[in-house]
Amino acid sequence: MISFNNEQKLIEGEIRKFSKTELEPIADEIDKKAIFPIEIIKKLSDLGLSSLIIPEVYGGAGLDTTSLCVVLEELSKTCASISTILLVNNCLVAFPVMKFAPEKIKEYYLRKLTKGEIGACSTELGIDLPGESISIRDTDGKLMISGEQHFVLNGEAAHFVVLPISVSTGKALYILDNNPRIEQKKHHILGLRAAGIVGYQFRDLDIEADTCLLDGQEAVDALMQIRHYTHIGFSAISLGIAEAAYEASIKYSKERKQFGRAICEFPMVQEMLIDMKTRIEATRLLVYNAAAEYDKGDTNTLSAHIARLQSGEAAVYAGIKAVQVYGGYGYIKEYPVERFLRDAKAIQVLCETPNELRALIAKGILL
Amino acid sequence: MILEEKYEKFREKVRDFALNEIACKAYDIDLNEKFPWDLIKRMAELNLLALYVPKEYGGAGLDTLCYAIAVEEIGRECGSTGIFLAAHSSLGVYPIYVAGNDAQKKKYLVPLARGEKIGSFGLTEPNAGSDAAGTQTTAKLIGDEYIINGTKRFITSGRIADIIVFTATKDPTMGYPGISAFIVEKGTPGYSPGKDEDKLGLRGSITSELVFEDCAIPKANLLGKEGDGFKIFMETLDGGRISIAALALGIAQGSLDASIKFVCENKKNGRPLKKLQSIQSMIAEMATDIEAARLLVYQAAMLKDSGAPFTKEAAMAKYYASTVGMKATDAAVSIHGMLGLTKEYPVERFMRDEKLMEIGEGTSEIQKIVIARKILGK
Repeated sequence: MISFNNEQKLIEGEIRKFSKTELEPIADEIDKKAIFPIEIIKKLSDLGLSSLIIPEVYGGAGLDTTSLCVVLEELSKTCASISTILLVNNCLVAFPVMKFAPEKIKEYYLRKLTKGEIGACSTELGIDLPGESISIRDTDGKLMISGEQHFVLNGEAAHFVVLPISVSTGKALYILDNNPRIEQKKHHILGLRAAGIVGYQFRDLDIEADTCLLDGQEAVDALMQIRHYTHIGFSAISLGIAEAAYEASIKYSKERKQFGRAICEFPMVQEMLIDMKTRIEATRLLVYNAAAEYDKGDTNTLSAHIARLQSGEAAVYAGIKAVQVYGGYGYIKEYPVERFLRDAKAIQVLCETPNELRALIAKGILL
Repeated sequence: MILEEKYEKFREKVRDFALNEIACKAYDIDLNEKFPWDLIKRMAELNLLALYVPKEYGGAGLDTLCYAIAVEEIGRECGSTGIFLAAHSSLGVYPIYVAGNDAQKKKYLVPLARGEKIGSFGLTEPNAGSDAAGTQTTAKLIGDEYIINGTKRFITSGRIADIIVFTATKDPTMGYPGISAFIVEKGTPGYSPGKDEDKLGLRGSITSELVFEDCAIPKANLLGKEGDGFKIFMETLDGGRISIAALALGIAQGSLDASIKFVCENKKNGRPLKKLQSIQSMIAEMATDIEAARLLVYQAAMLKDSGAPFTKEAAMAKYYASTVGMKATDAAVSIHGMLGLTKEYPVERFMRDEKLMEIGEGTSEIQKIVIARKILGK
């Protein structure tokens, strides 16, 4: 059983209130027009609800992983783009800075985040795409970065960016302030349309030597840790989307009448609701189990990978079925369920595909 | 499946057209919601708009199997163009072909079949979806005219259609015996298309509301007899389901084509994706599901062409093809990973387009009811 402590319940209530008053009115519009909701992030930041995992000494909320999941899940019930932005700020940006940066850099970047600034992080594609590589050259003691990153999460509105990249010597982790010379490439993306996912093009941009946080084996290990932590966050977002799709289906199936009765009375509609609910309950246990294990200091990544795989599938399933329950009305943008489906699919393949996750799980269980 | 050579020849002809003229436009049609007027003109020139209608009525004089193959091959490149063809042929043309009298056929069927006019079918209403017999639109006979009042919704090609077959009831409390089918022409006073829907997929097709406000329709535009409406739309949907099944099949095949190309062209850590067993497993499942769907679709079409009952088989084909189609298009996006979310690849479009196949012309749940009734009796 999952039981939240008082602080977590309090946060859940806060976010619920915020979602209702601030997110609900704009969620459809920012999706449709692909607007990065910078004002909303500022408001969340002012309420102390954006820099969730950053320690209080840097002005953050100092929350644990379970609390982080509570926030991400709850926000995702209304708008998964917003929760994705927070996930990136926390799991992909604050986390590596907290864990792997020297104090000076920590102070600089974590303070930026707690002031409401946006951090971005590039993701490596699961395939070897020609042109998709970054090179860093040392020219007369000056470091120059060039190349392309196809997907930079939060990239559109970022004040600074974390770059996990492959270099000739292996992996490396860089962090740099945004620069007008970094060219952005806009994507028309299926889901998470307001999350500011863009491509970055670097053309001989000179960077400071201290922008490299880690390289070599240290970087490889760090990337593993970041991924582990991020999977837990993503699984909370998928869970929230699945719940949103389910709640909407319950509500609609009670209201919509066909053949003289509410469609929720038909066993074939109930079948869909039951299958959604069963998956959601299982997913919830997996997500909060992974979070609790992490908070206990368990470094085994298996539960996080399983939670991510299950939640990704559950959310896509719930999205598809929610559109089905709504029928023709589910297929149009007057109702939010088609957005839930698109967001669910986008989250499912972000950073790691289900196939790659399965491979990681196989590694874990065959140890 | 080994079809007679003439069908494979026919497929090649449509495939060439789809590859050479549709494939390059599908991206733009979807992204910019461009209704494909130019492609419709080309389909008319190629005589693809009423394949099963005899030549004397302006059709191609072929059969339902050819029609299914055409929808499949066109849907394989562009769902929006495919749904236009399916709606025009099965919903616009078919009810007039089966239930129209000679005068109606001459006046309406011929220009529809030739593609000079665009056809549409107004059945669904805001409160009559799966319960299509729950129609609230009324038709009152006053003198020589029927006066129509009511609203239809989710009507494919509604706003642009020149000739619309629709259902209305003498009295909404009567249920299906009260329903008749009528023909209305664009521009008839009292009839106006309402707003278009902003949809998840099939964004290059037009889906509209149709509004009737004291719209007077000549008695001559009654299709069949009064009270035939239910029978006419059930028959229309039986045939229509074959075309939606064919479209579901085509879209699924399109997502498989794209996935094959992707895994053959790309590598992961230096190793071709197609060499990964997990990828092979997914491709094999998609291909097997799609092949099984193809057999069901062609079987339903062949039964219809033979004159045998095909209601159950058409429902099975639509249910199965759309279910495995949804699974295949979803898997195709997963295979592409994050790249599959972008419009640089067609797979997210296929997934969005495919979802309607589980809903339109009877949801999967309705198909299951139809199938069960045929197996178990009423």
